Amino acid sequence: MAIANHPNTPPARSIPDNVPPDAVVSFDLYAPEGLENGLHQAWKALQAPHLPDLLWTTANGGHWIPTRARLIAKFYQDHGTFSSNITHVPRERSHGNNPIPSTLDPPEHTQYRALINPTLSPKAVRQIEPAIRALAVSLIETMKPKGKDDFVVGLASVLPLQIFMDYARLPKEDLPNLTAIVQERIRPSGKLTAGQTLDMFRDYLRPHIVERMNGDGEDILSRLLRGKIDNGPMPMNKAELLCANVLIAGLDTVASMLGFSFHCLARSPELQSVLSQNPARIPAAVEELLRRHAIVALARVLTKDYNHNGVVMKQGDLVLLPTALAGLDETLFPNPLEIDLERPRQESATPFGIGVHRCPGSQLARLELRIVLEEWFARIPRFSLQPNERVEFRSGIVGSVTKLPLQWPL
Amino acid sequence: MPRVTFVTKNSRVEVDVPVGTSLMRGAVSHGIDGIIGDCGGQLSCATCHVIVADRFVDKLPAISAAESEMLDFAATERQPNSRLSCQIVMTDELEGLTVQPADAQI
Repeated sequence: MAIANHPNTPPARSIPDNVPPDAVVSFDLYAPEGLENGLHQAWKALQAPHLPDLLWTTANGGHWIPTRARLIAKFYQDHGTFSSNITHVPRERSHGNNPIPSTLDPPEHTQYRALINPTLSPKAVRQIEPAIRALAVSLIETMKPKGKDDFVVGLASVLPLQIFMDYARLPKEDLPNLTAIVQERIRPSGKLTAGQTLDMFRDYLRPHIVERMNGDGEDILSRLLRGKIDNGPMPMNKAELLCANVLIAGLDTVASMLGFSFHCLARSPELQSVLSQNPARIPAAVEELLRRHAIVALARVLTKDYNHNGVVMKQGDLVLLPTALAGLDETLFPNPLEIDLERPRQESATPFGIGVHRCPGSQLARLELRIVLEEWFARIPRFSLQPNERVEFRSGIVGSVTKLPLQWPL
Repeated sequence: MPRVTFVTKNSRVEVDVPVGTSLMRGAVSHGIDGIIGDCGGQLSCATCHVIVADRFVDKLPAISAAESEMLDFAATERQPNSRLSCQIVMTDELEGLTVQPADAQI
């Protein structure tokens, strides 16, 4: 693998002495080799049989990458060794980047996280279900008579974002501006650091936070802002960092997951038959699509030396934890690239991460995916990729499908 | 090893759960329908909600503030005997524990 010439890639450093030579690769998270053929195939190359289960890439300042499901889960769960104080590679990009609570470790993390959990709980999410279904139906009904459309433009980049803006009671007109900042943050052009994009979110949110402080609104931001921190009201700077974190996490991820799921379904006529004839199989399909297409890769920084089977990771080293590789680990999921609705449920597929930072929006994500599949197959049971049109993938902290031209019989 | 009975509308399933293991973990590892345990026991998802048979309620550890808050936000309305099964760590005193998974977890 060649080191991609990418604006995020600082000059390659010499390989540290503690890195075994057979562990060295040049995988660039932001521009992995082979991305044009699919993001997950690009990741999958890191699980080649000749490679050890803990790699060191020279790209993005140099960092570790565990490649097997159990090791990825172990590192995510061991927050004492693998701190969230740095969550983006390269470390220069993380400067000034401290959204709350995703960059905090316990015990500081705990009281903020406890405020988020109820706002995205099963009960909270059920209350949003009718709005999700109504919007899904409306978008699909708009697309259907065209016979073809870019799924990203027609649905994936619209539905989850509008639902989230509604739940945050923020103006939908602000969406283009906000999604541009999110994209610069997680799939950067190199113009801004993660810290700078965070500051842009804080500036945007400040008046909305002031308006909601001490209010009784039922939107997610108002609910969070009513939370007490250290038994007192939430300080303004913490409020900004908390609301920014929720907005960043809520705006992009489900859009990406919808894109990968429909790219997969468009090439699977058998799966289309099953799901259109038997919608009761849709929840099982949701789990498999999530396993097969996990998209988030966050970093951690080592608080102390850590020995993995004789390989010493040094205090201060960065490690990137790709959820994509957990679901593709063939030692736990035979034929991992196949969608198999009969596959037994495994805790090791961790599309939402695991441990104290596990994605609190997982039930909302599942619900949105399920509803879109239900309403889509009820209206468009057969569809495929448009021939002669390219599907476009992007890689980053959150991988994405940015163009997905689909067609269906009228 | 204490035996636990999971009662659903159509079935009663008995499984052995080792002392020191959470009831949620025991249920998931035996593939019990209706227990999800999405967060792995971090008290952040409320998807391992069970209704505990009356005679066992007093044998369980007290409900923490965090568990109580998550129970308020579970998909199925909380009942007086509701618990999150990730917070029930098996002991020998819980031999015969009988629970009903909540109707809906998500």
